[in-house]
Amino acid sequence: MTRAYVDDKRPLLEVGDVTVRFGGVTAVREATLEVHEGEVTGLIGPNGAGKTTLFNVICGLQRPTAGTVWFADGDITGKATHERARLGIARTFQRLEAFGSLSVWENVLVAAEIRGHKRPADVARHLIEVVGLEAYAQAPADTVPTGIARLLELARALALHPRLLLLDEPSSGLSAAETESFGELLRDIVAEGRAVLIVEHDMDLIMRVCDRIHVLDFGRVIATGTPAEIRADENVQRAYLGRSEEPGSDFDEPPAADLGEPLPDDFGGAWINPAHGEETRRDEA
Amino acid sequence: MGGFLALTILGLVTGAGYAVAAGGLVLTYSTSRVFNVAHGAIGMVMAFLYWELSVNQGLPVWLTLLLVVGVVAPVLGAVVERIMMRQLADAPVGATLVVTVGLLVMLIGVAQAIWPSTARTVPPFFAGSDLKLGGAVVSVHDLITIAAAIVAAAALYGLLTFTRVGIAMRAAVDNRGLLALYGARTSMLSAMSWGIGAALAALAGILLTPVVGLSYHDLTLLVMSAYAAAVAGRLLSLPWTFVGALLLGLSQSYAVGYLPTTGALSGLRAAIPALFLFAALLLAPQAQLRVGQIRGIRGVPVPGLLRALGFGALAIGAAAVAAYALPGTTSDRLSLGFIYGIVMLSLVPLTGYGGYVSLAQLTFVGVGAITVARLGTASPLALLAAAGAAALVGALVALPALRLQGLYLALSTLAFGLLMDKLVFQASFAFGFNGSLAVPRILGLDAQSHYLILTAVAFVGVGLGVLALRRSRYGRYLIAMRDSPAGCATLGLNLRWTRVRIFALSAGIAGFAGGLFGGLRQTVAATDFQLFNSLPLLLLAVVAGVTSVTGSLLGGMLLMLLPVLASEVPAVGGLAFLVIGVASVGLGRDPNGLASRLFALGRWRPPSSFPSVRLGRASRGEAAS
Repeated sequence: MTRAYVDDKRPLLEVGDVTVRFGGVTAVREATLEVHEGEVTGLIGPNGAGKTTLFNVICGLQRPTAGTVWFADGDITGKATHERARLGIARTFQRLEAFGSLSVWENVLVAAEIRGHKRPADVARHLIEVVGLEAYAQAPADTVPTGIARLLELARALALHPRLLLLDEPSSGLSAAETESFGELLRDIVAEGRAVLIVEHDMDLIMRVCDRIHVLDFGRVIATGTPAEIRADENVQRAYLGRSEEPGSDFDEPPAADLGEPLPDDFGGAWINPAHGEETRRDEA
Repeated sequence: MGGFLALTILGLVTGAGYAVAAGGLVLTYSTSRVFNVAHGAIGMVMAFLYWELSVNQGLPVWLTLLLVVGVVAPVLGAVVERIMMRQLADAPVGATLVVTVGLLVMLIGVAQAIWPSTARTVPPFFAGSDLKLGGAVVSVHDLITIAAAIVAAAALYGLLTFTRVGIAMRAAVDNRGLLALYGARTSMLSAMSWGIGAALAALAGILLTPVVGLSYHDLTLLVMSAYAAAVAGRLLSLPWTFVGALLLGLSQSYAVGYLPTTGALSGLRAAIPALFLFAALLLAPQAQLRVGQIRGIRGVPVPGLLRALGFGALAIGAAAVAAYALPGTTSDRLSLGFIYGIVMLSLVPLTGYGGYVSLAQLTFVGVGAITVARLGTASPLALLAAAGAAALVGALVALPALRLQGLYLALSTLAFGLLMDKLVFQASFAFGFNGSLAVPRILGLDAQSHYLILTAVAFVGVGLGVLALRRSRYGRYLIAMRDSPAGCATLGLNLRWTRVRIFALSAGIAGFAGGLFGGLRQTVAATDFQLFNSLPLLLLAVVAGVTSVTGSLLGGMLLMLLPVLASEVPAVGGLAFLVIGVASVGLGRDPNGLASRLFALGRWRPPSSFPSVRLGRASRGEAAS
């Protein structure tokens, strides 16, 4: 499944020495990574490592304190979010951003319309079929299950016909079978020559679909390589895999046992982790 | 030099009063994330109560102060928090604005009902015992005001920084659920912060009454000054808020001293908070887009074209029958109802679809009326010119707040309305100082019955246009932008440009209504378009239903009926403000309003609206954004 990495052309996306500071907390520290067309690139790391912040930097929702972002041979560091979208960067959100008042179908349609397709309805209909949401097409987006909303965000992002697709934990909320077909869908997407950058906690999925993986820990890129290389990397094992009893487990699992009772729904996902706590607070402010 | 010193002292005193008010505003905002537009109104009612007890009933000053600031105001604040604000914790910023504006209008209603308009004065503390400082006279009251500001600043800072309660208050904003998990009584905390906030509003109101005068509106507008100061502190930093308050007080005082006191510029003193606010907004940092939830508001069903045309024909037909069957005065009233209905239609795309709140919609109506008056022609092209002029002004209002969102945008419309009231409408190119303008009857329709049919046709036309907008891709963009600005931006939508266009469109519709309004009245003055009349308009629009054409017509007719009621049944009519306030506090959370209940009559069960189901990791409510 894994292919040898070929460095024969300039990467589609180059993140160079990006640093993001929130007050006293450094969420991302001189991070550098590349994403190539026709490949799935994984971005993994423990909670609070700065993955979502890095996504926000790439799509323009967060200005970096220092560093540059290059896309398709142009410096986009100073560009607004919507300008980047028009250049061909689309994303999904870890904490969902579907348009709750609109139906699933309208969510995808809006994206196709903003992108300026000649026949937006056809594009939207096709994508609803591609991700398999026909049954939910008319349901309001704020009533569908989380897994469905993630697929909706994927269809919405694909409606831009992006050159680079950023996926933030797309498989959480999907069943095992759905995850399996999701992996196949990812390979289809990159086979069309697009690039995918994916943040994911499901290690099986990451190891199966990625051509190349960057590992982030405390805001730094500590390792880069093919899945096989990452598996063998000592730094990674120490910083990341070593923390878990089972390498395939979901790192987002709350430490519920320590607290003795289930946590409330509005807990906000801020597990006790100084770096991540700050990041979460920023998102909400 | 003595003059300068005296002005400086006056400025410091005014600024100190603002600082006290602003401190309370920042406290309640930073602990509950609800911006209390009624903050000044609480101060106003408390100042009236202070007058009642100390001047009218003759209680000693110290006892009155203790009662008002120490007991009544905190209790009022806590009750308001308990009854109204708690349910707003997760509501969108538009709903919080509507409910607090409702509270404001309600408090004005209460004050007017209990203390009918008459001349009242509140003597300063220790009147007569003035001190000489250099060439200037300083009253003990001035010194007390400054001292109160310093004490309030220090106490607030100490409370939030060093005490357990204060730290818990700040933590409650970040994550209420987490704080509760650690055993804090979060409901107690926000009740306390609202109590303290109301006490500070009361203190500021009482301290500033000798400067501002005991007036329903001027004291209520204290919130504008406090808000301008608070924006200098980005709504969160107390020290910067106090610096902002002092700068504002000083600039206002120097403006009084060195600018002409008569003519059009005499309104500048009252307009300075608005100017100050615009400056602060321009300097404020760009708000970060908030991510992390699926939010949806179920709108009312959008009728198909045939159905809409059918209802439109019905409305015009009914108006035509009324025009010939009923007396001319009734025709005029119904015309006014249709015109108000068009103004409410202007809020449908902006507030109903887009979720933005305009607190100065009547000001745009005024711009339209002035345009038609100045053109002096009865041609329908004059109405288009009115719409164009108002749209241009609307775009200009949205520009300074372009980089900002919800709350800032709404409050900059408040500042804009004030600016127009006090300065622009008084200028010679507008109404002139306390002047009025003659407006030609549109299309030369002198008969009252003909004019009624014209307004009905205009309403139906604009209504069909609004429905067409909702069905278009642009309507979908508006709703998508309301639900998730971040989602829209990552899809390539230019949020700023879209926001300016929607503001311009809304203002344009209001300006169009303004042309019709001028033609109906034939003489218009600045008082017809006062900022304070925009607030009941907004509230009634939301209560009647700001997401539908039916709701707009209902709201327009209700707004027209209020003064009719007041003149024919004075006992009930005087309570109009109170009724609107109560209704909007109760219904302000559901933008579909009464109209959605009308639609539901023919159906099985009422439509489910807000609060909607939210999935995933829902985060807390709309924040500073």
